[in-house]
Amino acid sequence: MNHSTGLPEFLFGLLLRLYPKRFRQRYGQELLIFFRAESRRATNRGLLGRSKFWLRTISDTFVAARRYRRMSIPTGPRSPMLMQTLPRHFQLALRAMRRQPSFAFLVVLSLSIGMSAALIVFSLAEAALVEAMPFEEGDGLFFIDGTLADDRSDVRAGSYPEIARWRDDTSAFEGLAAMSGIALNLVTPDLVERIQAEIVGADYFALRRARQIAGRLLGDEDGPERGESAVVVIGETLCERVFDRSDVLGTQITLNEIPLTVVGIVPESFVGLALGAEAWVPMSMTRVVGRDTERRGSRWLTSIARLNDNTSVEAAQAELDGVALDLATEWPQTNDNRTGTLQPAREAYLDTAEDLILLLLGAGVLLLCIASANVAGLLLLRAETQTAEHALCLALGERRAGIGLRVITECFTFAVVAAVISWGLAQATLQWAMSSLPANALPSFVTPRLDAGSLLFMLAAVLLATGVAALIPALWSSRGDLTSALRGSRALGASSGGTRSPQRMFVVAQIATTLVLLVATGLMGRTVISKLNVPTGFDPTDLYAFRVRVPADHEDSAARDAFAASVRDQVAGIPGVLETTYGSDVPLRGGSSAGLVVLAEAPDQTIRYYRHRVSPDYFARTGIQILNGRGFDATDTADSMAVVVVSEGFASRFMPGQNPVGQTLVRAPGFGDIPTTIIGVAASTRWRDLTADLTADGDDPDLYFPFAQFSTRVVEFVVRAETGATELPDAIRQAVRTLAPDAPAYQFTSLNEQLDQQTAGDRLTLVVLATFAVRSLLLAGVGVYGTLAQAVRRRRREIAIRMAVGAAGSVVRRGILSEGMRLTGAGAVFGLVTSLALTRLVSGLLFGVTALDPGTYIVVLAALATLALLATWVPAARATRVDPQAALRSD
Amino acid sequence: MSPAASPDALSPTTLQILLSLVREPRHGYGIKLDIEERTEGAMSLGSGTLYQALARLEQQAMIATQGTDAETDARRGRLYALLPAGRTAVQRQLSSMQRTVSSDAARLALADPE
Repeated sequence: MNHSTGLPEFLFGLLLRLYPKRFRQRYGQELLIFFRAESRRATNRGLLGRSKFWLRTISDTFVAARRYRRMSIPTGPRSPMLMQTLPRHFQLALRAMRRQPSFAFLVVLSLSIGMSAALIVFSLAEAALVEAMPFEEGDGLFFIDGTLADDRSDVRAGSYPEIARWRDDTSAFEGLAAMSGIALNLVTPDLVERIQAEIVGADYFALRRARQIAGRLLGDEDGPERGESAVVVIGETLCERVFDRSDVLGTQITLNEIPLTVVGIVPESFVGLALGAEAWVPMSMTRVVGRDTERRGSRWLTSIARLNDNTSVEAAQAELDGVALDLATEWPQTNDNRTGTLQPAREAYLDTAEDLILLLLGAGVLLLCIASANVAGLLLLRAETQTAEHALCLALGERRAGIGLRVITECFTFAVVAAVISWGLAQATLQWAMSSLPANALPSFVTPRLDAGSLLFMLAAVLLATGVAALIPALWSSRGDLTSALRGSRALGASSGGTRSPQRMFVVAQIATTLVLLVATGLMGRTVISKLNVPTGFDPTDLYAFRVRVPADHEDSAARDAFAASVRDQVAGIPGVLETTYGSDVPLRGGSSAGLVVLAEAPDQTIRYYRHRVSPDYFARTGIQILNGRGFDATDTADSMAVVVVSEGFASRFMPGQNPVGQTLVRAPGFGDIPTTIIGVAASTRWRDLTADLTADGDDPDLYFPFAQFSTRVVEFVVRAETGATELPDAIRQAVRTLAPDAPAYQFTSLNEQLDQQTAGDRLTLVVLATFAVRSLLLAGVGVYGTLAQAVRRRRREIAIRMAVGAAGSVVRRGILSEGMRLTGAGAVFGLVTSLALTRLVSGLLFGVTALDPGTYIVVLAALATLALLATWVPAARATRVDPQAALRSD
Repeated sequence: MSPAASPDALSPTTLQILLSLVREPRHGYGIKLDIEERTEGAMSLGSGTLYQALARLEQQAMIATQGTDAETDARRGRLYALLPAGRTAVQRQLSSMQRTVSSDAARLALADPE
């Protein structure tokens, strides 16, 4: 918190001004010492604790200062007690609000908009950054990912041998455990289910600070170093679901066809790091997932760790890098340029949301500032008209403190009214936003709630900002003498000037901010539209997918293909299913399984590709077009010639100008050298994200193989159903169970949902930006209107005189309008410059539109000009309706 | 209720501050911590309340700072020590409280209702 020690102490220094000088001189230093000690304690208590601390400090100072004054001046007139005058001041404030309803409305509107925006982001930020961890003991927990040494952001997995070395050859860690999230088929006499689970190293439960509710947890005795330990720890919920009784210790359950003995039960509150895990298998049982702990190149694990006390993250990282260097020397072929990289667990879980939330925080605070500035501007302007009033009060014997108190009370009244409104507004916005946000836009454990502490904090901030803005002119004016103040308000010269320059700067800054936000919203909107218009290469209409793991006794591709075909036929018989097919994966959730090939004609260039294994009817039934040659058919069996269909991108990139059909690829060069004949070219299809350039070098091309020749263990079935088939997953689960009781259907998805997911993040950004842009636009409108309305009010006499001597209404109106347009123009110029400067920042978020998109800029400028015209028109029209007689008589 | 008017009755804050100084002189923040500890957090003084009270007690010659201003510890501030008048005031207050506590009415009030 180093950066923030300056401001609190400064604020406290201001508070100390409340004490008489004598008191300050004697005790000021000690008060500051006291304050430092207290604020150190308060920093650890969260937002609520800190706002409480501030409220207490402020009220304590007020009370103590009054007491001290009374104590030190026992004689002389006593000022009326605060409690006696306060109701009177409230009355005055309310009366003032009634007298100038439009002024009060503008102030309250501005404050409500700003406060509600800030309230929303504060709650969101507090929910996400402070409260949200899917599990309690997350503080101090680190992930260690296997990464490239020269690019730590390039996360690969780790192999068991290297993770064991990180654990054994370092001293920085209290413990370090390998782990991986896995999915398992659970089979009991009554139940077949696919469950989420984790395979974990010996220290895992100790690091997670876990407590079992029965039996034991996994430990050293279950590590791979001691040989297989066929045990499992299960979660309370799974226990209830599967056994319906609690004495299950010692019972066997079958996971992926391997029997394991239940040795422990953990409570429901213990969640896996892969959220949703319900079973924990020891690292010695890698057989369950067909992995191993021996091969150094077999990278499928991540690891968790805790640092020893007094060990810094940097020191631990350095130690890890040292071990990684040793490994690279010992095993260059597997460990060159590899290391393990520490990442705090909290960071890992907020990976995607954190940037967004910080962006939101920035935007929210900005809006609050704008709103406060708006109100401060309005108050400053009004204060000018009140100079005479205050001077008069002073002359009539009112104390300066009394005037100050009245102004403060007024600000307080405004702020409280605005706080109430903004609470409702924020509640409504939050509800709307959460319901209109795409699923998964925020991590599921982030649930924003409005927080009274944030509101209090903001109330204090707003009070401070507006209070200072109102007090300075009020007290300043009360210093002046009566005659000049009264004369000043009558003098023509004083009222003929334009709007004060700080006020104009506020408005210009607001318009600039609004423009930046509007441009960003526009660009984001066009990005979403572009993404939605990207051709996917297949037809997602009413298309669904689910997976089934082929039982282990189907070992070769022919047997797996036969199993998959029987599931397909079974599912095809379900009412509502129009057609069905299968393969290794489906578009938009394509597997990451990649391989290497070389062209027979150019054996030196090794090509990395994504492999898709598909059944003969896959292309036709998913809507992927064959552009050239043929797709697969029933003659492409395990015993026939090895064949491949290449993607359009592959053909254009590696065989430009040639007819690929009939040429030969060599699959697995150097390992099996399987010559494979190209029989067709398939149209570009989106297997992964929508934005990749399928013809550029960045994205590896897609190759298709017949499932019967090159099968997978997990099969993805694709179903096209009649529209509105909501019961489908249950029917399919049932059908598959009848056919193969050991092989549950799981991971149902709709391809339209997958498509939605692709734009979810962008739509979230769009919703957020739009929310703020609209608020900002409203605030800017208020700013322009308020400034000009006050200017017109102050120039009433001048306008009246000009009109009395014959100036046309249109000329006067044009003067006001042009002033409004000048303000808007200046704001727009600043906004444009800022937008252009921010181009580099946003261009990474954009797709299908450049950051300098002229269309967007034109629309935004037009919208802004329209708003400014509206906001200017009302005061301009009012100016020409000034009755010269009345205006000259008033004051 | 000004302290000068009824010198016998010390406010709870004043009493606690004086009590803090009975054993040894303390710094301002030390007084606050001591009171918090002794009252188990029930009384937690803000900076203003504490120093306003200290100023009054100094004025009433119940306490005094130790050493000159030049010797002030820049990190912790001045040391405040109890003066005889302060000690007398505490004693008087405590014995009055003790009389109250040991009165029959108080014993009845404190008695276990069963």
